[in-house]
Amino acid sequence: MTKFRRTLVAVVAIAALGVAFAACGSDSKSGDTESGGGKLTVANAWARSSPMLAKAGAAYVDIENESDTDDALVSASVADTIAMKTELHETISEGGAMKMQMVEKIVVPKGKTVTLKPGGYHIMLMELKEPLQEGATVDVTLEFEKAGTKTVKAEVRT
Amino acid sequence: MSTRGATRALGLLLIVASTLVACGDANEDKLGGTIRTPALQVGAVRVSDDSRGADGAPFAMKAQRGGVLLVYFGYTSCPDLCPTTLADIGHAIKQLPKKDRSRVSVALVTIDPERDTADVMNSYLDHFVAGGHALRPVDESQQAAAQRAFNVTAKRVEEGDTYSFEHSGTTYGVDEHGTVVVEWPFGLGSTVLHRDLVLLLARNLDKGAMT
Repeated sequence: MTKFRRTLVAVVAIAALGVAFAACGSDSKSGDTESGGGKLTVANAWARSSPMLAKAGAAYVDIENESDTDDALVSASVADTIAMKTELHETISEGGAMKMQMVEKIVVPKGKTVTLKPGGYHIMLMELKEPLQEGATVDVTLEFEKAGTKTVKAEVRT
Repeated sequence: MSTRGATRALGLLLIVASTLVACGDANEDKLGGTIRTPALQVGAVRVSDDSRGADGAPFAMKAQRGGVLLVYFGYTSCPDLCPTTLADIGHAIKQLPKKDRSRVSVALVTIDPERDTADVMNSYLDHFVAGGHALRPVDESQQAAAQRAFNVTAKRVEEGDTYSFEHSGTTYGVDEHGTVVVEWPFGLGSTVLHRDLVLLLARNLDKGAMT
């Protein structure tokens, strides 16, 4: 084999290995966290669709704190045509059992993103007026200690 | 390319291929859920089935022949864990090939028979898992027996004028003999559940072919 050929085979092999390894790391998400200069942003808001006769529902959001101070979500609300009451809750695991408890606030430390998600923090919608239909959107107003209020559209999914 | 070159290239290809295999599904035939030893035996448990048409007939905790029965203890006023689990179960089953979907049955056992009437439970199941069994214990002893057999805890927690439950978030996979072959703790998600269902159904087919 000529030197050139040998080099070529080696280069191709290294490239192929690179591709193989890249294929492994499939979980890396593309970062859509563009620095907005000291902001608090709420993204990926969604609510779980609810069955016809269900009285309780839940909504979830990502809160990214790019400001230089800690902040906290202190309350959330929806129109009273959607649900009568809204509370911040946390599901916690204790010795194999899961329980839900009300929390007064959800702290979002500076430079961090807090994700409200199933099995963790959630916005509980109580006494639903009508079912949350898949594909619909619900306006959820979030009140923060420092950043004030923000209203986001939560997409209803199953 | 010379023979030597070809051999070398083949060798390199093998390395690349093995790298791909190594990072992929090394545990392809291993269940993602938890396996308890000894396994729970729940075949003797009977709970009143309040699904439409079942009219309260006792439901036995066993899968159909060669199938899998998924059992979850929950309540419909639960906003987070229960809908998430039932949605995961629904997604996992929907992703199965059509012919396999009917081999998986689902039973929701309410830990809150007071608020979970048959209508409420059926509407709940319709939403997440069509054709699921709405199991509603007729009395406390039936409820206690079912929870004991599955090692389920459910504690009522008063919250002003309402209440919720502190409860196990596990989904149980039961075979045709009433053996709990796998348990999925909350949070594994629909992908793991789906993969495990595929594995369990394939194993059951293998077993069926041998006997």
